[in-house]
Amino acid sequence: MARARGQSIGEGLKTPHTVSLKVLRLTRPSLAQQFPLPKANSDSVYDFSPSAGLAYPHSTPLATNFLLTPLLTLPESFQSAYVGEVFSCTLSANNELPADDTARSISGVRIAAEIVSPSNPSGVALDLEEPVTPASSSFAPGASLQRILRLNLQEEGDHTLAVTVTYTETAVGTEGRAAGGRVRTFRKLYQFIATNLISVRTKAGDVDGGRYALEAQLENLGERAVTMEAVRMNPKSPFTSHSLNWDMPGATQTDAPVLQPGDIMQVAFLLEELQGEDTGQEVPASSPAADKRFILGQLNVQWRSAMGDRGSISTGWLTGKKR
Amino acid sequence: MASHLQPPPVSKNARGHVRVTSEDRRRITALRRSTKGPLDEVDDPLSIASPTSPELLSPETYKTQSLSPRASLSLDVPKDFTFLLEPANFTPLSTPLLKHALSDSTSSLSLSDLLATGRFHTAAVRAASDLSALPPTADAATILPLWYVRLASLTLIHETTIAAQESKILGDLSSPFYRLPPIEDGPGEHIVPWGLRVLAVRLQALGFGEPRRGLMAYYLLASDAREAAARARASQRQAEMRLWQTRLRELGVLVASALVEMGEGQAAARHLRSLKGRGREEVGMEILTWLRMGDLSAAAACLADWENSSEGEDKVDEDGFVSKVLKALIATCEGEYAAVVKDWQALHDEYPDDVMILQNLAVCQMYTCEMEKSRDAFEKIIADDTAAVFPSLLFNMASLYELSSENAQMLKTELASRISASGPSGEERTKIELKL
Repeated sequence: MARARGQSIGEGLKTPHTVSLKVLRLTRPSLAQQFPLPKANSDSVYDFSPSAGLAYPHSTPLATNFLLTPLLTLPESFQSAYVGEVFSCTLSANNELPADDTARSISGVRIAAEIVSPSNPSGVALDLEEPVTPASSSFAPGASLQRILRLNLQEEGDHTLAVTVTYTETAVGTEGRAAGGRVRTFRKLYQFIATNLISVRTKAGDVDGGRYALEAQLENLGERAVTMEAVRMNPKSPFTSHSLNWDMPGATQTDAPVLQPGDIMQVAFLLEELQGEDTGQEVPASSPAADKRFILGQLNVQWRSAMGDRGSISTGWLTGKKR
Repeated sequence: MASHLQPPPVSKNARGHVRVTSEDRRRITALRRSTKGPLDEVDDPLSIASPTSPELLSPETYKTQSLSPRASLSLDVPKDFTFLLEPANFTPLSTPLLKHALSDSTSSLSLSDLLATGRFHTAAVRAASDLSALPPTADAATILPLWYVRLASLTLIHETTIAAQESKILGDLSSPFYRLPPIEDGPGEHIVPWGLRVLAVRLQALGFGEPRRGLMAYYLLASDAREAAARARASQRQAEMRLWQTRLRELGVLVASALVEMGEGQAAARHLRSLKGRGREEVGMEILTWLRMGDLSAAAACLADWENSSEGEDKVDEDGFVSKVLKALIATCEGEYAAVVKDWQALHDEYPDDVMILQNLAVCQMYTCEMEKSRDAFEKIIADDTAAVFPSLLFNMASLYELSSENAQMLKTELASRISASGPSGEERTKIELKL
């Protein structure tokens, strides 16, 4: 995760906190890779075990010599955060008391999180997912309290995730009775930048009376490949939209388009005005001399990257101009 | 005239070029599929009539096709392998995490014993020192197997970068320098062990930063394997023919792996579909490739096609194990973790001994706030068979430790010593896998 800033506040300065907070970004799990040694190696003087280099040493019908294996692996690093994707993290508050510390106990642990984004500088509280079946109520040394947050990233720029942990530390008397407790709290800040993954440039043109062509260029600005799941035009009445792309009826391409980093892809739609409907919604012209513009609809782009991590963005209302 | 043959020149392209960053994938084009590729199996009845079939070629054609004129010199002149023995070829390795991996007890073990007991770090060091100590007169049969041990051991202890650099010293393994003089029914025998020829392909592609070079090298090996299999079949050497067919099949998988590593998942999937005798293994590989690309509908379509196919060896999946696991993987990528945890749990109940299923269940439990269950599952895999721990399990354990304690370092070290206490196997590999 991005650097943690401003460790603890307040009373924590006096004695170290007995609860720690750790964060793991939850992108999709990945498939473990393997680079096995060549198998049919009968002419070798020295023998390596046939399982050396295999991702797991068990023989099942799915254990092959292929690079990718069916073994899931937790996310490796923080990676980039992109607009249109879900930002998910797991937060863990951990009891750091030594196992043999009988003089203190911890209870009432709570985690709260809020996100500060460019449009919400004062911060918005986030809902945190809890386990469906709550873990055991005791919070013994070494135990953890886990929460997960999911956040739709909708704008570019600096984001700060602020996590507050509150807990009660109780001093335990000689007979095992509580001798006094205090509520302690600390807050950690994690900063990251959300950037655009897919940029969309559009152009609308009048084909003939009542028909418009909408073209768009999609560019992968990120550092990983994406597979286009759907590129759709959501037309505004009275228009209907026909895709002229790989997914159009009768198209022969079956594989979804892949955009490698830096790749640009061109898509187009034909928008037709339905007969008998009201004429399209006119955009108020800034000057009387301006051409009449009609709202055609919105373009929506949906993609998935490695292991199915999903993202989607929509443009604003796109307009067409009557000749 | 030089009295010795010089080592094979590294191709000019490879040396003179600025290293191409592997990130720029725009210029990498997919392989064009030919109607009959060298990876096709030799028992194709049509291959008799194939113009590239070696038995139809006269020895003359053969020589001009695959051997440079210089090769004829090697009849009399001994080859100079001293460039492979230079101590400067070998990068010193950092010491492994666990001290007893370096203990004196290993010095009495032979290289074969080191490999048999999984002491790959020590084996890599030993191979390099053995090579450096060889006299200049040492022959290929002594030198090249030691190179194989060196490079293979380095890759096993995750020192692939060093292995890739060192592999460049071997130069072009397809050059005539590495062959015996031609014989009557084909080119001269290759003096490099097959394992080294195959292993060097990926390492040299990494070392030179040219992944496409690796693809070409695999196809060259495949064409050699195909010719050798045809020769073996022509002279009724059944066992040898089967060996070459196995190698050919392995090369087919290596090409798919190389394409995936280059980010060319769609090309890899097309290649896997084109392999003859495509069965559940290839279907599994194709689906994993689609998942890696994030194309879940292609993955689901591939699985459905296979399940609906009615005949052939495609269909061997008696109790539906392959189908069920692949379905659960596709569902995992859909991201509905609460449902997916149930899928993996059901699979675990059905196949309680399958550690892959248990690990996948544990990973998904991390996405449903069930860290405790997740940790229990990981710990169970280790407790059941400490000697058989595998890299991704250790990586997952390390991530979980880092998340659940300020003292992750201590927990990881404790785990590392628990593993090494169970036996020497793998003790030298845990350092990177546990992120220590």
